[in-house]
Amino acid sequence: MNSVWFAAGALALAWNGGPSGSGGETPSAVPAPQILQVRAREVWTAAGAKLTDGLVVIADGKIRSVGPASALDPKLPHVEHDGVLTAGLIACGSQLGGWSLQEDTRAVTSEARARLAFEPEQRAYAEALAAGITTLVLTPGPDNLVGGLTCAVKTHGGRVLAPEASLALNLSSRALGRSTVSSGFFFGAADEPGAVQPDGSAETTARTGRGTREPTSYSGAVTMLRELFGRGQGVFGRARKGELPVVLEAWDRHEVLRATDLARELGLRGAVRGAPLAGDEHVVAALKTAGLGVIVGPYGADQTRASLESLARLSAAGVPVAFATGAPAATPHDLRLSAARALAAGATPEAAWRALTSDAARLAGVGDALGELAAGREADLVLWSGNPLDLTARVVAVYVDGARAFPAGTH
Amino acid sequence: MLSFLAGFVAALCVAQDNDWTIAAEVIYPVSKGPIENGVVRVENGKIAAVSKGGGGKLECYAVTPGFVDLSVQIDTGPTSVEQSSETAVRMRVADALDLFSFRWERELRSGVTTALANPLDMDVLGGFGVVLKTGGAPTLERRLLRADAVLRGAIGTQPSSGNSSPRGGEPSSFYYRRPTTRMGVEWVARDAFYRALQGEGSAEPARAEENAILRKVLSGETVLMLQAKATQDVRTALYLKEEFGIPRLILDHAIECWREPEILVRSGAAVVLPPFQATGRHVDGTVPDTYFQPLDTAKRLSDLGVPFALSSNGGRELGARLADQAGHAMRGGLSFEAALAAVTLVPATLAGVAERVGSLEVGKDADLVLWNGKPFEPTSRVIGVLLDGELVLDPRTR
Repeated sequence: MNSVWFAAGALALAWNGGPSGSGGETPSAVPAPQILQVRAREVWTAAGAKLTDGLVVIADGKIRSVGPASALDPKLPHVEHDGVLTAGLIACGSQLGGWSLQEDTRAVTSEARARLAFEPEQRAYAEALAAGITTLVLTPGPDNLVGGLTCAVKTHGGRVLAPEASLALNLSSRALGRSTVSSGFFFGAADEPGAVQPDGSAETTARTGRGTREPTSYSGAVTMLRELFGRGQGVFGRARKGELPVVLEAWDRHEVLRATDLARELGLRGAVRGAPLAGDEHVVAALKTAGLGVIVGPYGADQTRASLESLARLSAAGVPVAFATGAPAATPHDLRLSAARALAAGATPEAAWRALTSDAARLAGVGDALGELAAGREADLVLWSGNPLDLTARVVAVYVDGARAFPAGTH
Repeated sequence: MLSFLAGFVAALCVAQDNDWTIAAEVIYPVSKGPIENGVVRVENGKIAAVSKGGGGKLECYAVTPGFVDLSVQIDTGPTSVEQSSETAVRMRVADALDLFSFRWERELRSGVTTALANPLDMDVLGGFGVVLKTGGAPTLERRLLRADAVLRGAIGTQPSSGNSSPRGGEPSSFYYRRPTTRMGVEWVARDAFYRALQGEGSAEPARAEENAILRKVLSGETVLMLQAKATQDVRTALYLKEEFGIPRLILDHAIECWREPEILVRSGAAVVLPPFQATGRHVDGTVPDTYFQPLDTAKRLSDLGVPFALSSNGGRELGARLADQAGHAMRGGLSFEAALAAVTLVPATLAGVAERVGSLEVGKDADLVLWNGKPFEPTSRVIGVLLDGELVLDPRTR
């Protein structure tokens, strides 16, 4: 009993006598804003826009100003960094949330909300943070025809940025997989090479749990979606009215075209997720006509050249692109690796950087708040030892909502 | 794949001027008799003239219309057919196709310019088939010739394959259902039409839609195409036609239809013959699913006056393509004219696209096949293909 009181007393002491902010704020009735100045040798404010010896001033978790280092007020708290300062990276697709998101009892779980599977205490978030990723999108029911509402979350601090970022739909064979009969029964079926699974393995239709869930076919999937959007109840009505973007998972090129056709038919906006061959001329044209973005990757070592060239082709056509991460199964560093590989395959540094930040923010539905360093935006900052598109550069520190999140410990 | 695409694009660029004059020793318009020393003029993707007179941008021995295959079997496998119901009447295979598949290109280069794609035969009624061009940009917009061309079904053992009776176990999937037998297949088909006539379940929108589709089949507005391989399946399909008075029925893969000439003629059904096989044996009742189609099958149907088309079933082997089937049928006694019609105008008519394709007539799509010799002869081959006036196989490089 005594020890409990003792602990409570220590806590009270810490509460009362905690360190006040360094610097010389004077007490007043209105609390002074929490100011932090970050000065860096190079500040990447947006894709293709750099400040040499720049300064970002943060006030209460938001960016107050971005400008030359000469504006630094040495009396206020500040950090000086001999490297590159950028906005935090954004992963538009992720497997974080794991089994908590796998509600695959039904093909349509339209009211499921990924935010309720957000468990910020998971170590994977800290790992993503350490890789420079400050915002992630979680997708509910990834193998469902209609998975539910995605959410955008911060990797530090447990904040849900956009609780209903988009409606997750899946038009890929993965959504049909649980119910597909092994093609071995039937002659002439699925015997052509080239069909590739998201993990790069050859397509197979042999599944367990067959015949437990509809739809089993692309035609069934499309028919069900037409019906759901046609009735227009709940999230479907909101998506049709343009209030809620969609993320349509589709891998093979024919799946992507099916998704873009459907989006056009139903008047949906948002992005396609998957599309390893998004750079195919017909796929690019279809995405552009439908006004959809695309979330690709992560690009591993075995990614084909045609995949890697997608970013260059899409950005040339003005289609917004973002990357997914394979974390936690893979390292979250795969996000930056994807950009570097696309860069090596002909993408411009600007396009690669947009895919990691501003385009990703747009596709995650938080384009106004994140993705660039500009006054009014949330202060998610990464301090790099060098050029972040160069994989030899490492993350030195990460700030989320103006507070240092990595490495752990107070500023 | 990209290099292939690049090549394809380059080919299109060469043929950017889509106006052609093709001179041939013989032109087979199909809609009328052959024209010796003739030319076909192509303008803006359409046939502008078919006439006598020599000299042209392209030259070859013979020109025929592009072929039409009503059983092309290019699909995305089991994902082309909805398995949660045996009567997936509302489904459209157009929503399930992979137009990027290299198999379309293969068909196109062999001379098949139009194809009917159907769902895989795993349901009693599997939904609508669609008629497409086999080339051009891989989008439905570009390739669609006729949506909802036929309602596809299957009579026989294939829809029951994979289903189980719940006997002796707890049903753990929707495959514990009827049909598990040929009888069951027919039952499900008849039940669907009967309920459509009664308007049963029409309070439910999906069922109402299904019933409306089936009533269109009953009124003849929609063509019913049933796979029926074995003799008994042919009979069953034809009995269904007679019982419900289904005006327009096509039997697909009707390998043993020749065994039932009387009922076939009486029913007025049309037939799509599967490819002729090198192997096969007479069905004597002991091997129910091994069928036999003699080489003279097409000739017999022709003599009976039964409208029929030949098909390749997506055959890939040497001698298994659609053009080869015409040669096999001729070896069985079919006339050249009937064989040519069986891969062009007849299937185009059966699929309801004869206004656009199937013969060389002014105003029709410029889908042409160029030959280095008399068509369907063993020593002849396809050396050029035009699709909508675009040269997709260049005879000058062959």
